[in-house]
Formats: sequence, structure tokens, C-alpha cells
Amino acid sequence: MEKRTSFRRLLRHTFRLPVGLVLRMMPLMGQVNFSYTGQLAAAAGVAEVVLDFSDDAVPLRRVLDELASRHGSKWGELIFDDAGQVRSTLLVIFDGAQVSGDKEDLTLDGVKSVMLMTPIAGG
Amino acid sequence: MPLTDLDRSLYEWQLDVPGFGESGQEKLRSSTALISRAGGLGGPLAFSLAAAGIGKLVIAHAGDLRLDDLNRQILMRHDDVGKPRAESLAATLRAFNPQVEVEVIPENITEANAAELVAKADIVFGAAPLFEERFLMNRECVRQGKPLIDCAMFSLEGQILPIVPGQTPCLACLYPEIPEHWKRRFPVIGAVSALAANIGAMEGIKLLAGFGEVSLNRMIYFDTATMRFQQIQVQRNPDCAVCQHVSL
Repeated sequence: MEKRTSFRRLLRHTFRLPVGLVLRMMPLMGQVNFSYTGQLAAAAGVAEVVLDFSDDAVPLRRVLDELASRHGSKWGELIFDDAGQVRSTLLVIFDGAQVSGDKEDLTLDGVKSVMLMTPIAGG
Repeated sequence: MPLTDLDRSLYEWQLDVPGFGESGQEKLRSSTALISRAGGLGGPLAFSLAAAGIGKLVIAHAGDLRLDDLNRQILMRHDDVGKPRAESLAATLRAFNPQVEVEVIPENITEANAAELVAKADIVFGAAPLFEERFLMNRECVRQGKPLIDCAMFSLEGQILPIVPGQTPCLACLYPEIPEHWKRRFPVIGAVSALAANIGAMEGIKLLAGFGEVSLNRMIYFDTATMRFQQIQVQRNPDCAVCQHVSL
């Protein structure tokens, strides 16, 4: 519970920073850079946020829930399906490599950057 | 097929590209490419393949040209608004490089024509604005063992995924179902689609001509808002409904 509280506080703190300042920050120890592409960036209104974690093994699912509450329902609908599960079409990229397996079970252990990509087909 | 004197004159400047040369030009000239739709992506793609001297282009594109197509569909002409897109793009390509054979199919990719159209080609370029068409081409390319260069864009971003069946992930490995939130209408500046198209064209030219390093198992992603370019490692899905049984 203590870790969760700390995570929430840090998440809020990061979001209070001016976006420009966050974008220019080099991630420090415990910080993870989250970037969004395409429709996700449009829905969030930002393409990148830096989050600070006191625990290395934070579940991705918990972070996505937090981000969805921050970025709004449109962003959340792009991430989660009607059953509340992470969409099968969401690409999750850890440190430049696509992550396979059940996205509900992923943790951010040692991860420095997370890229969330929704499918695009503009032509 | 050996190059003619006309070929050597026409393609003189690219014959100097290291690793390409006459051998690469001959391979390109002997190749047929299928392009699904010649809009903002497929148009510049077809233009660049024609400029490079591909042997034949098969282009599937239905519908009549609209005024709001012209911010990105560079094979079309203002005077052709209201006329079939297929006629406009064929006229442009034939005038640009008469050496290239151009076959235009005034239809989009469907279940009924996908297998036949893919069978005509040595390589396929996906540039359709709907996942239904992209998935059909992906399935047929995997079935027929043909390389597919899937090119896509949204707003200021682009993604290019070279697919070699059995060797790389296919489109269904990455996206196992039709994405629910993709809409037919999307924000687009023509220069962004042309950029994605030309990266895709270059990946295809390298694959066909056998030179350079093709971005296999890596998706090329760019964002022109920040001019960030990166390659993302992607992997096959062992449970992929389309390609799980395909191996080299």
C-alpha cells in the first residue's frame, strides 16, 4: 500500500511539471519515459511523459490504469477493450523492442523507456 | 534480362550506387510490384518505383478522384477531379516513364481479387487506408511466400514494416485483429505520406535488387513533428493465425 501511495504521489508530481520541462529532462534513476504514437498522442494531448517510480517492478497494467485516469476516457478506450483488458492490437515497446506475451503480466523491471503504439493505416 | 543502351542512359546516375549497379538494375527491371491503392502513400511509392526502373507496376485503386484527394495523391491531376483515379494515375506513370509497364486495376483489394493480384507480383506494397485490405494482402503474401512492405501513416508519423514470410513477423503477428478504433478518415499532410512511401520504396528496391540492408524484424518509425526516426525490434507471434506454420 505504501508503494502504491508513493507511486501515485510521484505520478501526480510529474504531471504537475510543465510539459516542456518534462520533455527536456533526461530520465534519472527510477524514471521511465513513456511515449505515445498516433491516436494515443492525439488523445492524451502530449506525446511523452516521464514517470518516477520508487519500485523497479511496477506492473505495466497499474501504470496504464493511472495514465488512463489522467489522460481521459478517449485515451483509455484506445488502451483497453470493452472487457477492460489491454487491447491485443496495442504494441508495447520496452527500450526499443516489442514485448510479447500477456500484456497484463508485464512489469517495468529495469525498463527505461516504454513506447505505446496503436495501429495506423493511413495511406 | 540485359540492360539496353536506353536503360544505361536513363538509369546512369543510379548505376553508380555502390552495391546496386547493372546487376541490381537488371533485377529491378525483371520485377513486378503490386501496390494496393495509389493514394498519398501508394502514389509516391509508384512514382519512385517507376523512376528507379521497376519492370511492371500493378496498381489496385478504385473510385473517382475527389478534390480533397489532391493534398497528397500526387499522381492525380486537378483536371481529373470526378474521373476514375485509375485512369489519372496510369496516364501520369506512363508519361513519366514509358519503359515501365503499368497495369491499373480499377478495384480495391477484396477477398475476391487478393489471391489473383498478389500472384501477379514479386513484391507487394500495402498502402491501403483500411486494415481489412491490409490483412487480406498480408494473408495472401504469407500464403504465396511473397514479400510485403506495409507502409502506414497518421498525421505527422509513419511506420514501415518489411515482411518476409517465414523470416519476419507478419502484420497479423503484430495486430491479431482489426483495430477497432481505426477510422477511414485520418489527418494527413502529403509530405508525410510521401516520406513513408519513399522509405517503403527503398526497402522494396533493396529487397528486389539484393543490396544494402533491409530492415527485417524491425519496424521503421518516424515522427516528423520532432524528426525522430527509430527502428523498433519486432518479433513473430508463435500463435499467429496467419503465419505460425510458415518457416524458411
